[in-house]
Amino acid sequence: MPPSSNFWTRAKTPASIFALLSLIAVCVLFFFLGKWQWDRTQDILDAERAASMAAVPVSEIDQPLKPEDYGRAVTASGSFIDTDQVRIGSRLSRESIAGDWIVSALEIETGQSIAVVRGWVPQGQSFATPEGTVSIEGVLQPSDTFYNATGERGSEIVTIDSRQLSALWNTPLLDGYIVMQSQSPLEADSPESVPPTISTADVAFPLQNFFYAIQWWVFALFAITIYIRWLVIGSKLRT
Amino acid sequence: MNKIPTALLAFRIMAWVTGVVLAFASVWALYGYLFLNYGAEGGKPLLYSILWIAHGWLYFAYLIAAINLAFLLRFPILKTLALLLAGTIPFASFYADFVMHRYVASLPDKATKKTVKQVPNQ
Repeated sequence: MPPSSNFWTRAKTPASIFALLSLIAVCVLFFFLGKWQWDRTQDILDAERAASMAAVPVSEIDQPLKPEDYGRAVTASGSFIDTDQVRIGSRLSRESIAGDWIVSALEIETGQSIAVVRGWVPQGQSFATPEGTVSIEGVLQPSDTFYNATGERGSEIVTIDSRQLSALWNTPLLDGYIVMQSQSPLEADSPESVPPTISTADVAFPLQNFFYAIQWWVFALFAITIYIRWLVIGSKLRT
Repeated sequence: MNKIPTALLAFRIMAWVTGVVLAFASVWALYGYLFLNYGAEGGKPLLYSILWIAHGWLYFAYLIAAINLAFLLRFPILKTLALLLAGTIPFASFYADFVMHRYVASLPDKATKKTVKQVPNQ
């Protein structure tokens, strides 16, 4: 007796055909429920990314910085404190030419200050520091924490760390620093802007929606399995 | 070998594990949406999301345990569906576990222990 003949006889009964139609309806429903959660995942990601791309005033970012803030576009306006300034040697320009990076403290309207990498200048060359109020736009970075012990090589500073700079300048600084991308007004011999190390902000992934999407599709497959198993068991009962 | 007691035990475990996680997550959700602004985008903590994802997969295991038991007991479709859905309603799976145990206990011994008596060649 071939077991399949019973299976197909069973599959052709009205009850089985009704169950099959229900199964198809359930699979279609579950597919679209999964797709809805999938689209929600993408929409939430897009919205979060758009929100993190838009430049926000640096004073609006909570202190201390969280990993999600690294790489965020920020704006600030205030004045550079020309005594609070360091040259950091052995740094590259956009064209990979060795020179110095200029880091200055920018005092913003709230009275707080933040370290700003204004850009690159050829080794030993002088540059202009704007007087009065400037508006800048840049990318927020975490303080360099690697090689902390060797942060200062003699009197020379090699890492950009807000705590270290704060101690050096005797000025309280906000956490992290800004890699300046544009400044207005801009003098002719200003430092040349450099690319930020971290340029894309990390956004929180909507895990729940993503897994629900997968789950609905798994449930649809499970429903198919159950239908087949139901037919197999039913056909064995008749023998 | 009779499979009903094993299936019943598997169902009991899944009903309780899924039920406890669901009850906890539901109470957390209620509190979160009422008092902690979980309705806002990105307002939920990671552990909360993980708990719901865990419930989703535990429920999948619950489905397997429940359908296995329903097949063994030759349940009609609507009764089976009710059993499956009990894993999605807070506290319903505890009741389902109670009902299933009462039902199996009410069956004649023959239904649950038949194989011992029915070995023909000895």
